[in-house]
Amino acid sequence: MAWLRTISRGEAEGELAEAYTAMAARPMPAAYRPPHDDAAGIIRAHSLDARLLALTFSASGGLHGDALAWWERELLSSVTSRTNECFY
Amino acid sequence: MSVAVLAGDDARLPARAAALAGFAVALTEAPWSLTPAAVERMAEHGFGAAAIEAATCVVGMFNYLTRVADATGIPFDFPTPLPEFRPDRDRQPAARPDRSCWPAVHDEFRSFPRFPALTETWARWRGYVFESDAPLRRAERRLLARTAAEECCDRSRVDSLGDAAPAAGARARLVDFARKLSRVPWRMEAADLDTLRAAGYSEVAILHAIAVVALQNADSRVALGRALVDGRR
Repeated sequence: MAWLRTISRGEAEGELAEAYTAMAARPMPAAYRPPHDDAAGIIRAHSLDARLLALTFSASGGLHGDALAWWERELLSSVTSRTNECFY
Repeated sequence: MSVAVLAGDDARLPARAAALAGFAVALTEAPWSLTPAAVERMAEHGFGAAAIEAATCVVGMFNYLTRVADATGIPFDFPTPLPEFRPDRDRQPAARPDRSCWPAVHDEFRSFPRFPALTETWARWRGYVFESDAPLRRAERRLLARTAAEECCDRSRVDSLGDAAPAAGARARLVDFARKLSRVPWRMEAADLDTLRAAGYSEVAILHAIAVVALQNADSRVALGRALVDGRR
């Protein structure tokens, strides 16, 4: 259970529900989809502020272009997380 | 290759991948220490300016996301065939240099000229996180951001956020929180959030505190990395 209160997709209303729906509709590799019906934890971590959630993942969505191959982006993100001793 | 990355055995990676990994480690662990040689190494392996700028953004973004994960205590919920990653919570952070050695990077490097759409979304995100006046006051955001920028040795950003008056009470708790989340995010605990709650901060204010610190860590790394790409350091 997270240390900060979060709002699940099932509990979400209004702007947050819309943000979750928009996130779920984004094309996404299967590896990025959690094995449950709720939004991924890193998305739910932002759920107390729907606008923050939308802005954050709008920026992260801009990472997926042609300048780097998918495996190169994955390598960078994995090494960054490892260096920060983070499972994410 | 995934197992080598997980184990921190970057020497086993193919040369091109090792160059990327080395860049990510340096920009994450000690962004102030990057030199043009880091960019030259990337270029030797065929990474052009756009690819290096993109790499800087990915590393910056994951310095944000990992701090949010560490600060909120979210459980790991992605499928993976890899062995479980066990963080070393006793790991020591890189030593920060004296302020006189901090790089000074102009604000023009806090953007992505080769990716205009990303520049726009990043600016909107940045504006909301750093300039809003609720649920955290703007002055509180500046205090959090200044502390995080100090931890990144981002001299220009620190200077732009003004003099650091001694913080007391609740604001002193914000400074402590920002310093810990910046320097040793892997040591964050539930008690760190309880300290902010006890100081009077609401759940959504705490989320914003996390976002400010995490984004400043990303933003400073982007600036420090981008300045290298464009040969200004």
